[in-house]
Amino acid sequence: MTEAGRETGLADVRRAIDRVRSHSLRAGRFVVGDQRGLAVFLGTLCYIAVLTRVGIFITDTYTTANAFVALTEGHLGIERAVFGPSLGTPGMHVVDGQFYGRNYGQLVLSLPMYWLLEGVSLIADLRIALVAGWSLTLLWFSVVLGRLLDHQRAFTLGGSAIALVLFLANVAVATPLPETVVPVLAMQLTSVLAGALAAVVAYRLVGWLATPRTGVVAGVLLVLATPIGFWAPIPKRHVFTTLCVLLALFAFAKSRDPETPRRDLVHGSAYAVTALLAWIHAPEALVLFTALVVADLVSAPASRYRALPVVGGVFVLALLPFFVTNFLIAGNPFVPPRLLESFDPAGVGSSVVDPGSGNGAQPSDPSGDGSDASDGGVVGLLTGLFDAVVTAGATFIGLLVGGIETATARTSDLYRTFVRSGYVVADSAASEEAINLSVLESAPILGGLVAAPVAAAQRLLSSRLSVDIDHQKLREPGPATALAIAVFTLLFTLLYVERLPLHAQVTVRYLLPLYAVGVVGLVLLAPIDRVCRTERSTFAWALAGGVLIGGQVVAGFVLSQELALGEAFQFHALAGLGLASVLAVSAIATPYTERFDRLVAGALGLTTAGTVVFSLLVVTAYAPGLGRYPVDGGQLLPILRVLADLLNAA
Amino acid sequence: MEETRLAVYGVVGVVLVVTLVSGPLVGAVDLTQEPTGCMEPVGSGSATVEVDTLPDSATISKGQFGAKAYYLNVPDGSVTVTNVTGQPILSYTISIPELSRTAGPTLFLCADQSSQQTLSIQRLTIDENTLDDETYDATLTLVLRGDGEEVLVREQSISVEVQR
Repeated sequence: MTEAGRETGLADVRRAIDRVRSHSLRAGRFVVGDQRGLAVFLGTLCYIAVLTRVGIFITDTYTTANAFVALTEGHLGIERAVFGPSLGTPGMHVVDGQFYGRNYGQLVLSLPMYWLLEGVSLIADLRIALVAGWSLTLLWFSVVLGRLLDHQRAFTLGGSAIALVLFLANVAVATPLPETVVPVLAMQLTSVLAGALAAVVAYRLVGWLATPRTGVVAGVLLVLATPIGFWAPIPKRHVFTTLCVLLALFAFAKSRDPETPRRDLVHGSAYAVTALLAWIHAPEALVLFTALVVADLVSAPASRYRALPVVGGVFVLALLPFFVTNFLIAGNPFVPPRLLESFDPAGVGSSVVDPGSGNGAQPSDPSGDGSDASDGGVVGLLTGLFDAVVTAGATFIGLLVGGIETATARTSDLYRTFVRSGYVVADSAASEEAINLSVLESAPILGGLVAAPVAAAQRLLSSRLSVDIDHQKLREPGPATALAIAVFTLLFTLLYVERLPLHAQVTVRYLLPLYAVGVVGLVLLAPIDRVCRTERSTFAWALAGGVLIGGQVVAGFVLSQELALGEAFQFHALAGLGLASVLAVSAIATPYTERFDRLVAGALGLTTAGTVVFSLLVVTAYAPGLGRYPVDGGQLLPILRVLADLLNAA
Repeated sequence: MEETRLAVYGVVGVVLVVTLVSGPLVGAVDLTQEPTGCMEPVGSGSATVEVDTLPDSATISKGQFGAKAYYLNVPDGSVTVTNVTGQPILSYTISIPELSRTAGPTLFLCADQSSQQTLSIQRLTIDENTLDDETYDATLTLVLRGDGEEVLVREQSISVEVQR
């Protein structure tokens, strides 16, 4: 090769690298938005990794994990129980004697992570690779944070030192990961990414509707102040639902703005997200879809109907994977696995895990009578569609009506789900510990929502009752999104309230998306938004102090008193309610005066710290009490495993 | 500026080198070891178990912090384990037939453990509605399993008092 030829070769390589670089930069910007979004993503990723335990900790994960193994081998039907004692685990469905799992959307999304892990395991010890990934993420986070806070040098040097020390410490106490756990780990890490992305979308939604600073608070609160951080590493649907809800809301909010480029496509993508959710859990997707339609009908001007073909087209296109999966399993594109005959787990599922272990079987999900496989042909297809719509509609309305009945007739159950939990008698014969916290107990930050009616009333009064709820105002992104959030919250609560309070929830995981929209709604309140903008350092210091000092005090107390698991959980519950009431009382004043803003910021920080401390203790000190499981690779980070051992030996 | 860049590249370099060097491709060192413990198959071998103390009474009392449940509290006991071969299993249980409840830990015995072993039963939730009597008869059982054999080490009845 000549000198000139070599030079052009090098230039080509350089150009290719530049192209890859600019493409990945653009893709990254598309996902996280800006440097702040990147910081939220990296920070929450690091935090969720700390809360991650590798393994299966809830019986119906056996079903999805076995389905995932089948998927990695290239087929939908489950042929053998790689995980769990048999194929008769909760959530298993049978078609003509062939076993199928569910939540296939979630499983397909987890495939790239599986391939990545398989690839990495060829060149590295997986545990070391995970620790390395975590340390480098931490380093990247501190560099970005330094850039944002204008202390680049200090943050970069400090972050380098901390990342290196933590990497070496983790390597020093590392244990191997069992090779069989890789499929489960892939599902878990995908779920962790979904959790971190949910924080990013919360940041982008709030950052766009209010200010970027408030958006950052929203992203941080989403993962730290709610049980979303705790549930993200557990490969169930709830975190994906949460992400989908936030994505749909973000796209919906953007579609209200005439300035948005490719507005129709953005509007359509809100519905595309519901289609994606249907692939994971159809009833929840129906709730999201209904909420979007209602909000659209109320808030869209007549001219928006021109977008209908694009919106509908994108929606139907996004439904294709859902239809194809259904067709391959049930022979009918409109019948999701959940509507199929369940494998009867009587006497099988309950013996999978010790009933006293805290994470028992999940009761059967909303299901109706599945229509039989269609005869094929257009007529059969249309009949199938009609059947499915009728079945889904009837089941859906039945659930909502049941929810309304529950909400009106069994208010004490509602109270126990949302405010004070106490002891929930398990379905199984053996008694269970009182470890199922209510919504407010597990996320005391939501106590701040009492400011919502006060702020609304104050606003109405100050506008001299001129009732500015006119249609024009509803067309703006903020009010329209608030409407969508309200409708979604109502319908989603009605969907599940009939079956709550329930055992094996820990933190009302069914309602996980409501924590997300609750936090978003909270920081969007004008007075709380003001506090987030002006009192950031008070919030940060209260959070840090609460976790570092309060966390040690709580851990010391719980361990020295030798509290039983139920007592410890109820102690956290009462502490949470106490913090929630402090926040509630101070937040009531915010619409009228700025005098208590610092107190509100402190209370926001402490309620967040309460949830962080609880989550950290659940995955360390309380982990053995919640049960021993056959598929268990321990804490993702080896130093957390050592910490857990120390706390349990104490 | 230069030294911050140096620090970042340095840390990234160290992390990547350590990861690759310990991986299967290079395989220079193995950095992940199983936690030290018994490598023997579970349930194999045998041991001599001597009972030092076992509690002679237990209580059922109300939980704190509004846990709204009653808890069974059993004081700790202890045993001395010698001549361990393999990894035999020592199970320690309390059973209250009238409440149809059984609970207790399973100990995996190992030669390199200390001979003194504490027997403690975690506080156990009891549904208040099932508590009709003031005292219940209970049985403590110590069973050693190894090499397919089951040896009853000790069986002892104790009384459980309900404190309301």
